[in-house]
Amino acid sequence: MPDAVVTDRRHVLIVDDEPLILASTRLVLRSAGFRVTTTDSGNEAVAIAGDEMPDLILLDIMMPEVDGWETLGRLREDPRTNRIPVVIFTAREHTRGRQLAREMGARDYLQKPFEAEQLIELVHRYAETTGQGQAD
Amino acid sequence: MGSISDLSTRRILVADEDHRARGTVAEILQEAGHEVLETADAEEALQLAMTHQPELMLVDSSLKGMPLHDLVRWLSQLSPATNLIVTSAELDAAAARSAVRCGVADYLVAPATDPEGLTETVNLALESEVRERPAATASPQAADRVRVEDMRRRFLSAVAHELRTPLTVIKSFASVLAMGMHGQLNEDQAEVVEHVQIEADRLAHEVGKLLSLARLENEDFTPDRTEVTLGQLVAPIEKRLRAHAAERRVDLTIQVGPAAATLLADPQDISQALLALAENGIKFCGDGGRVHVSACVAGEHVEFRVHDNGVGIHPRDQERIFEMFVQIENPLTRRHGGCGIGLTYAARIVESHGSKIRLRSEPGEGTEFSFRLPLAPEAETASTTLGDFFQQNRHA
Repeated sequence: MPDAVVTDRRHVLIVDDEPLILASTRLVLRSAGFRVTTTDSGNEAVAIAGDEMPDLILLDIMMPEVDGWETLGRLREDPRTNRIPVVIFTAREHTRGRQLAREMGARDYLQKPFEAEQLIELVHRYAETTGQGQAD
Repeated sequence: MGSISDLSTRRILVADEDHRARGTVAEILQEAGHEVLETADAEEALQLAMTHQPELMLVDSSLKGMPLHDLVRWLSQLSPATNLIVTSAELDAAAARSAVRCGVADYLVAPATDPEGLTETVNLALESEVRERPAATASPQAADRVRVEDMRRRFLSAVAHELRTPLTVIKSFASVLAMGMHGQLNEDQAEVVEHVQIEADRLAHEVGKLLSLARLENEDFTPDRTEVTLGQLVAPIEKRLRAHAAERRVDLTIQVGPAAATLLADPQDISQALLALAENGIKFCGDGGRVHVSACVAGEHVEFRVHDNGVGIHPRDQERIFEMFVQIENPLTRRHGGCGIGLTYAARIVESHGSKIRLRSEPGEGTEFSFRLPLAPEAETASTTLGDFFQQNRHA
C-alpha cells in the first residue's frame, strides 16, 4: 500500500535559499527513499518543524532575513523541536563552523559540495536517532 | 518613556549572541525611529562598525569570538566616533568595572526586559562624547591590516558561495543519474555522466584547496581539533587516491596502523594535507611509479609518510617547494597541470597543528614527505596494545 510505505519513510526537512540546491538535494534523498519537505526560509522552517516534526533537518547557514544560526537557535528553544537532529550544510568557509554548530546543538556539519553517498549516509545516521535525545 | 523618539534617526549596532534578546532590543530601538544593525559575532560587529560607522554600539559582555577589551580597542581604531554600551544578561560587577575601565559609555543589565531603562541609557549615550578608550595599536598599518582582512573574508565568503553552490547542484544531479535512480543509462550516457562527475570533483577539489588555503593564511587561524582515529583520517581520501593512482598507472600502497589509534586534530584538514602530499607523489611519479602512503604510530606520535620513486627534487629547489604557486620546472609538471598550491596547503595545515613537514629527496631517486602529530593522551595505551591487531597493509 503506498500510504503505508509513505508513513514508514523517514522525513527530512531541507532549508536552503538556493532553489537548485533544494531541487538536487531533494532528488538525491527521495531517490534514497526519504520523504522530503523543502523551504527557502528560516521562519517557515521553524513553523514546518513544529507542525510536521521531521526526523532530520538539513539547514543552510547563508540565508537572507533569518540565517541558519538564528533558525537553529529557534529550533533549539522550542520544546516541540529541540530534539529534532539538525545538520548544518553550508558553502561558507567558516573557521569555527563545526565547533559553532556543535555548541549551538547541531549534530553535524557538512561542507558543500558533498558526495551524494555522503549525504545519504549522514541522513540515515541521524534520522534514525530521532527521539533519542539531542547531544549536548 | 525616555525622549529617544524626539531625536533624529541614529544608526545603532546591536551585538548579542542571544537572538531573542537582540531582537527585542532591536525592536525597541527601531520603534524609537532608529536604524538598527544586528550581529551575533564579534568579528562581524567590527566589520559592520567599520563599514557603517554607527553612532552607538550595544555589545553583550559575553559575546564570543573576541575578549571585550580587544573589541573596544579595535572599535577605537576602526570607528572612533562610535559610542559603546556594554550589556549583560545578569549583573556582573567585574564585567562592569572592566567595561568602565575600557572607556565605554554605560553598562546595562538585561536591556530587553527594561525598555525604559534601555531608551534612557541609549539616549544619554547618543548625546554624550565618546570617552577616551585604549587604541588597538599606535600603528596606522594595523587598521589597514584589518581592512585587508575584512576584504579577504568577504572575498572568501562570496567565492565559497558562488563556486560551491553550483558545484553541489552539478554533483548531486550527476549522482542521481549515475546511480540509475531514474532509469539505467546506456554505455555512452554512463560515460558522459562519469566525465561530468570526474571534472566536477576535480574543480571541487581545487576550489576547496584555494579556499582552505586562504582560511589557513589568516593569522588568527586555529584548527578545529577533535578526537579522530587514523582509520577515519585515511578512509575519506583512499578512494580518490586509488582512482588517481590507477589513472596514472602508479602502484599505490597505503598502510594504516593501528586504525584505531586516536589523535587530536582537525580531521578534514589533516586528511586533506595527506591527500595533497600523496597526490603530489602520484603526479611526479609518472607511468609505472610507486607511491607508499603510511600513517603509523611511533611511540607517542603518529608518523605520516608519503614516499615516491619519482623524479625527485634538486637540493636548490627544496627550499622553495612549499611556496605558493611554485612548481619546479620539469616536463611532468607541465604535462600534469595543477596550480602549485598543494604543498603550500599541506604545509600550512601541518604548521597550524604545531608540526612541520620534513622533506628528503634525491633527484632521480624519489621524494619522501613526512610529518608527525602527537597521539591523544588517552589513546596511547590502547594503541600500543592493539597495534598489531589493527595493523593493515593494503595494496592497490
